[in-house]
Amino acid sequence: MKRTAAVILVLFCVQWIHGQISFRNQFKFTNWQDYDTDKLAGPNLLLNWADLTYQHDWFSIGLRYEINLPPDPYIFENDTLLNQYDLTFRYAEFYFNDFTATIGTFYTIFGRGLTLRTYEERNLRVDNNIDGIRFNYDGSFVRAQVLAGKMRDKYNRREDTVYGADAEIKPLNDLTIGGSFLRQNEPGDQFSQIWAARLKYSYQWLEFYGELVRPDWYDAYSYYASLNAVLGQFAITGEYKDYDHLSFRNSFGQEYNAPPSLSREHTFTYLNRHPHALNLDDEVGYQVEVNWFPSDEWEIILNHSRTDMHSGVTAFKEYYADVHNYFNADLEWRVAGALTYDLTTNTDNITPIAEVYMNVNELDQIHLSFQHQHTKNLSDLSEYDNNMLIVEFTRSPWLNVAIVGEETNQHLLTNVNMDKHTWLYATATFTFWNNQQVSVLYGSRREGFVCVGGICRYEPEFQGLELKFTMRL
Amino acid sequence: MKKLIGLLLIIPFLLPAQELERYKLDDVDGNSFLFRKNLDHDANILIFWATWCLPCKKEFPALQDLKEKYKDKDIQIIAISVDSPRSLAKVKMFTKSHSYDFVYLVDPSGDVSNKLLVKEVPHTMLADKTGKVIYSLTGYRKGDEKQLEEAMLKLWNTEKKE
Repeated sequence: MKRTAAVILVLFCVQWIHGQISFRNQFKFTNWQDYDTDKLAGPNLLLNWADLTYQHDWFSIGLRYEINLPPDPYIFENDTLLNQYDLTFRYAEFYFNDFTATIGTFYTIFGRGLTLRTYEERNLRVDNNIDGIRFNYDGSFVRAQVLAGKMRDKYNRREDTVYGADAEIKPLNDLTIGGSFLRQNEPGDQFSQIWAARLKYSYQWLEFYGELVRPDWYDAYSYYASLNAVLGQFAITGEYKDYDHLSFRNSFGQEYNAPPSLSREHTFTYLNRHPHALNLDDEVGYQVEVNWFPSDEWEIILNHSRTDMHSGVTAFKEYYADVHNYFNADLEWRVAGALTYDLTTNTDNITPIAEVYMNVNELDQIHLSFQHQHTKNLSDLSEYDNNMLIVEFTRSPWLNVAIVGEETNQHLLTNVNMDKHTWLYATATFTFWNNQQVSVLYGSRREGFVCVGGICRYEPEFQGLELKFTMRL
Repeated sequence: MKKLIGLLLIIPFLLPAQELERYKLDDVDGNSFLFRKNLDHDANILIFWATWCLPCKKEFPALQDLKEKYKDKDIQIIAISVDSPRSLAKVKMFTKSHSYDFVYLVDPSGDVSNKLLVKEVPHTMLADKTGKVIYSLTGYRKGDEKQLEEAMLKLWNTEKKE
């Protein structure tokens, strides 16, 4: 009898435990054949992120365990501040009808991020989660969120408690009105706070969004507005920003807010070489994008973005055009080009791009991509050219092989000291058994920026072996 | 007995699975979409995407073709944009200017994609009527939709037998 009862109890527990378990492990090992000994103590870097979540009917829990062995000195300049093994994310969340309570770490956004945005972007090594408590109410007419906690910086340090609230109502089906508040307590009974109001109006082919922000540390408003319209074959987006002393930071300099940067996000390597880094304290600008779809086979994109400082100095300017055509069922091509000015590097850049995809059969595809960039340095008026060629073969669903070559004539400039002017690497990715992926890269890769969402990270020049393994359960 | 208990306790860890029922997101017009109330379809295909992601845009027509190929089945395709505020304004423009028969949702805070451990786009999932995820794939290569189709047929065969 006891044995039966025990079995029933265990079965009950198993049923209870067996909710929804998700596990993802991302491993990256890098072996540098040639490296800067001032930066790297040894040739090897090992990174690992293990994410585990468990979800049951009325609650969920999750954690992330991170290994940096040793911390990448190109990201963590002061590497002794970062623990090599650390639990960087852990939470418990409880649900009751339209209410959710979170204890521990969490990500969130108020409006479009002008007051608060916490997020993880692993490619950029950004993870500014908040550790604290949050309550959400998500009704059909009203939504509200209140929170308190401390934000993480890249060294996993947390300082200064922040308190926030965000609410929005839908008085009409097409209209949403909202507001946010964020306050940071500082030493000596001091505090900083920021207020925001927003409005969104949506009508079939038209959408307007506007957000106005007022910090208490500077006598100025900041705002962001966007307007979308779809008119027949044309889809148009216009955005405008004015960010004046908007940056809200904790004692470690970690920013709470991350508003739209109003520059186009690109996937092409060369278009990220001279990116625009967002400056929340001094930016005025706009972005206009027109998408034209003359037929199912054609797509044409025209984009222009510009950011100035309040003094009138231009910080970033880009004209981008993209023509994409499905020539037939087995062939598609794209021609794109950009004229870019960037104040950080003080360069004018002309970047034409051409690429073609050819289907060999139902599962095999060949991709060729050529990128060229002509750069003019406006400080010393020197000019140089870069070329990149990508040859890629994919066989669905398990194989991807690519060879990437790049060359420059920048080394011919008298004021530039470069050891290398050609780079070549090969990469292969294998996908197997229920979405597990192994990726190997060998060769040399030029320095450059990895950019997502207006935030960029510098990747140094690399020569060696890189191994990645992503396991998902 | 001890072995049995040990085995039973290990089972859940050998059978990891993801479910979608709990989640709630906004559609592009700002209306709430509660997964629990919207999964009663023969198959639910989810694609996590972004406006700047070229492979995502290549996968869209392949998914639409799949839906049209099985017109007799009720296939729901849910496209979840993970665009950050930087590109969020372009999401609605994209959805309105393409005639894909998809449900478009937005996850700008990354709340749902984080909980489902989606770190790259495109990421495609297939879920049954109960919201249980039975297939997932990261990235898109021409022909990947064949695997998705096979998983879908397998799902329907299993349901038929039951």
